[in-house]
Amino acid sequence: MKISSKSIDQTVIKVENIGMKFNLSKEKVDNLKEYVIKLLKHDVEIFYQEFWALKNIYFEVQKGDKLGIVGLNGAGKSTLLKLISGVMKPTEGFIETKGRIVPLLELGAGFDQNYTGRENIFLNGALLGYPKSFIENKFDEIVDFSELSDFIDVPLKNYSSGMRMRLGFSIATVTEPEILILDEILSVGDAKFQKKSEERMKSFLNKDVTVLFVSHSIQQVRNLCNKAIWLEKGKLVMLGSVDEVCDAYLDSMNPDKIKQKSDAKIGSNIKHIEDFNRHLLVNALDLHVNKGEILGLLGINDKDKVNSLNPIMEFFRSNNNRILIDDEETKLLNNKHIGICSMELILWNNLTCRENLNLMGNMYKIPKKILKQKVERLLYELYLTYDADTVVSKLSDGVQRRLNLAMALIHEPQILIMDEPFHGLDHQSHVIIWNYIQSLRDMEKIVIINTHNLDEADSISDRIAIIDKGQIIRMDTPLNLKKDIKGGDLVDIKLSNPNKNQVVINSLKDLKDIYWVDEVNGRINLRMKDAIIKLPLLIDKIKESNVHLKNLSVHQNTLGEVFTELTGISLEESK
Amino acid sequence: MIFDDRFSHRFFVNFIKYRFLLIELIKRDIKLKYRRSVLGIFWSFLEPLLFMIVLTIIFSTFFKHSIPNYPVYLLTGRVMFSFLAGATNASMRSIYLNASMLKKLYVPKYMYPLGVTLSNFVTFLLSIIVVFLVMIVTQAPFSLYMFLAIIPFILLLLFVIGAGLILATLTVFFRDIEHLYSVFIILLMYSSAIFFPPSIIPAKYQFVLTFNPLFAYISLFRDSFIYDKLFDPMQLLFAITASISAMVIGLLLFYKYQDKFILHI
Repeated sequence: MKISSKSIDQTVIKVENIGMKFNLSKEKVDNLKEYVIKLLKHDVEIFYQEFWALKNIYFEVQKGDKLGIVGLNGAGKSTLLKLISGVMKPTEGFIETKGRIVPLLELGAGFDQNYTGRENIFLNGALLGYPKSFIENKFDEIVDFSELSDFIDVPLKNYSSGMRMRLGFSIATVTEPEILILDEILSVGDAKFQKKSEERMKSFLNKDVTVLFVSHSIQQVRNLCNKAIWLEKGKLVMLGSVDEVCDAYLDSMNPDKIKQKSDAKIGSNIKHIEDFNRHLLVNALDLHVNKGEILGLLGINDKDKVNSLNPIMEFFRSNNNRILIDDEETKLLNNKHIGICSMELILWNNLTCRENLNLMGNMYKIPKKILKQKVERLLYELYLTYDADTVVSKLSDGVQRRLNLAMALIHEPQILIMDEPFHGLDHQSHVIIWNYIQSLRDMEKIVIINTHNLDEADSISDRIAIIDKGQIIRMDTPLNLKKDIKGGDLVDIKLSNPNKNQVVINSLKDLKDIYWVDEVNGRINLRMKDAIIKLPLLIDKIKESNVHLKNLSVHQNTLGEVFTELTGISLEESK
Repeated sequence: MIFDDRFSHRFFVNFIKYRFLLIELIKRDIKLKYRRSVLGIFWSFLEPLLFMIVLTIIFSTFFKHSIPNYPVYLLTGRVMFSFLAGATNASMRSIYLNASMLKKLYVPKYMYPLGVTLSNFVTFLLSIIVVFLVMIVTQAPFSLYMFLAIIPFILLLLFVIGAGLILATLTVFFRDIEHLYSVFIILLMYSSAIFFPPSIIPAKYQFVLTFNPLFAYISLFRDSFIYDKLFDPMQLLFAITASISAMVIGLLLFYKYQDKFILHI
C-alpha cells in the first residue's frame, strides 16, 4: 500500500505501522495518595482502560506530494499530525522524516502573554529551532508581513486573537519548509490578511514542498492535494488519489443541507465607535436590535477589533449607552443577560461536560432543580449527551466548542455574543451550531456574531454591521447591503447580433431604473436595483429594438463587493 | 548499538539546534520575574540582605562564641538554600506549566527544567555579590581559597539539575508531590545548619547533617569563604557522589518517562 511510485530516495515521510494508545480511564489517578490507595486495594482496573487513537497506520509520502487527511472529528487526524511533527511518540511502530518540518498546527503556541511582540518573535523563533542570527536577519520581514509594526512593543496579552495568529503565521512561514504540516489554517486574520497568507501558502504549494493537510473542507483538500488518506476511529480506511478518497468519504456521509434564512427585519443603526488612544471603546451609542435577531459584525482589520469582544462588552456594561430591544429601552443589561462565547474556550479541562455546566450554573445561582433540566436540555440540543461524562481535555475540538457555547447559554441570557463561531469547525459541529443559532431566533434571543468570514456572515445574519476604522459604516440586511451598492445588480446581456448593441443601449438609457449601461467586450452590461423583479420590463424594452437575446444573466453583488465598496479596500489588494 | 549511536547523535544535534532557545528561556524567566517590580534585579540583592539582617539581630548574640562572623555564615548557607529551593520548585512545575507548549510544539523536553534551573543559577551568582559586600562591611579577610568555591557551586548546580529532573518527572504523574515537597523543603532548611552551628545538633542526630547533600555543599562553600582552608576530602567525596547520582537518576528517569508526559498533562 504505497502512496506513490517506488523511489526510495524520494520518500520524505515514512510511517511504519504506528499505533497510539491513550489511557482513557474516567477517574484518572494523578496523585500519589490515590495511587497508593488503589495499589493497596489491588484496584488494577485503572491501568487497563486504554484506547487506541491510531492503530496500524502505515503510508509513505514522496517529496513534493501534497497529502490530504480527511475524517470526522476524533478520527485521529490531529494525533497523526502530532506524531509526525514529533510532539508525541507513537506507542508502537515508528516514523521517519527527512527534512525541515514546519508544523502550522497551532500558530503562536509558544507565545508568552507577558512578552511584547518583539520579544515573542525571538522566543517563538527559538522554539521553532531557528538560530538567533537568523531571526535577527528576518526580523523586519516578519514584522512587515504581519503588519504589526505599530504594536510590536505592546505585550501580547493586549493583542486580539487575529493579531496573534498573524504574528504566529509570519514567524512560522518566514523560511521555506521542506515538509509543511497544516491543520485548517489556510486563512488567518481578516479578509485582507487571509488573501496574503493564502498567497504565501500557494507559493509554498507550487514548489517542491511536501505538504500534509488536514481540513474539514473537502473542497480545499481537493484543490490542494494530489493524494489523500481517510481515517476513521483511528483506522486507515483508504488511501489513494485525492478524488477517489474524497468521493468515497463524501459518499459515506449524509450531508445535512443547511437552509439559509434571510427574512430580515430592519432596525436603526449604531452611530459610531470611537477610537480612543489606540484602544477602541464603544461610546454613547444607540443599539437598536430586535428580539430573535442575528446581527453580524464585520470588520476589515483587527485594529478595529483589538480584543474583538472587549469593545462590545464594554458597550453593554457602560451606562452611557442606550440599548433598544424592539423599540423598548432596556437598562437591565448586565452579565446575567449576556452570554459570551469567545474563540478561546472557557472550560474547566479536568471536569466532565456535565460538571462544567453544573458548576457554571451554580455560579449564576440557578436553583438545583431548574439547573438540572437546563443542563440536560443543553446537552441534548447541542448533541453533547454522548460525551456528557467525559472529561473536557479528552474531547475533540468540535465538541469542546459546542460545550463552550452551552456554557455561554446556561443562564439563559437574552443576548448571546459570539466570536468567530465557525472558524475551523468540523462539518458536523458546524451544522449543529448553525442550526442551534437559528433556533435561538425562535426563542427570541439576540445573537451578535463577530466574524471575518463574509460568506458565513452573509448567510446567517439578519443584519450586518460593517465596521471600518472604528466606525460602523453601515448596518442593514445582507440583501439590502448587496442591493444598494454600485447602483444595484449587474445584468449581462448578449445579443445574437452584436452590431445592434449601441441601438439597444440607447433605448435602455431611457429606462428610469437603470443606473448605468454600457458595452463591455461585445456585450451589454448594466446596473439596476432589484434586477430580477424588473427583468420582464427590461426584456420587453430590449425586444422593442427588434433584436434577439442570445444570453442574459443577473449577478447579484457579493458581500465582499459591498465590503470593498464601503471600506474602499479591495480584498485583492495587497499592500 | 545503533540505538545508542542515534541517541547521542540526536542529543547533541538537538542541543546545538536549541541552545538559543535555552538562552531565550533563561532570559525570559529573569526578565519576567523583575519586569513589573520597581526594584528590578536589585530585589535579588535585597531579599537575602533583609533576611540576613533580621536573623543577625535575633541570633548573633546567641551564637557569638561558636560562629565568629554570623552575617557571612548565615548568608553563605542562605544563598545556597535559596537556589536549591527556588530551582527545584521551578523545575518541578516546569513541565506541566508548559503543558500547552509541549502538546503543540516539538522542543527537547529537558529544556524547560534546565531553563528555569539555569535562570535561578544566574540569580544565585548575583546574590554571591551580596556575600562579598557583607564580607567587606564586616571586614572579613579575603583569601585565595575563595576561588575554590567554584567547585561547590558546580556540584550544587549538577545536583539541582538532577533533583529538578526527578521532581519534574514525578510531578507529571503525581501532582501532590508538590505539596509533599513544600513540607520537605522546610525540613531541609532546618536540617542544613543554615542559621545555627552544626555542633548544636546532638551527636545522636548528627547523621542528619552527614547524609545531607545540601549541608555538604554549604560546608564546602564555607570552608573556602569563611574558614580559608582546603576542603575536607570525605565531605568533598560525598558531595561529588551526591551530585553525580542525582544527575544519573534524574536523566534516566526523565528519559524513560518523557514520552508519556504528554498523556498526563
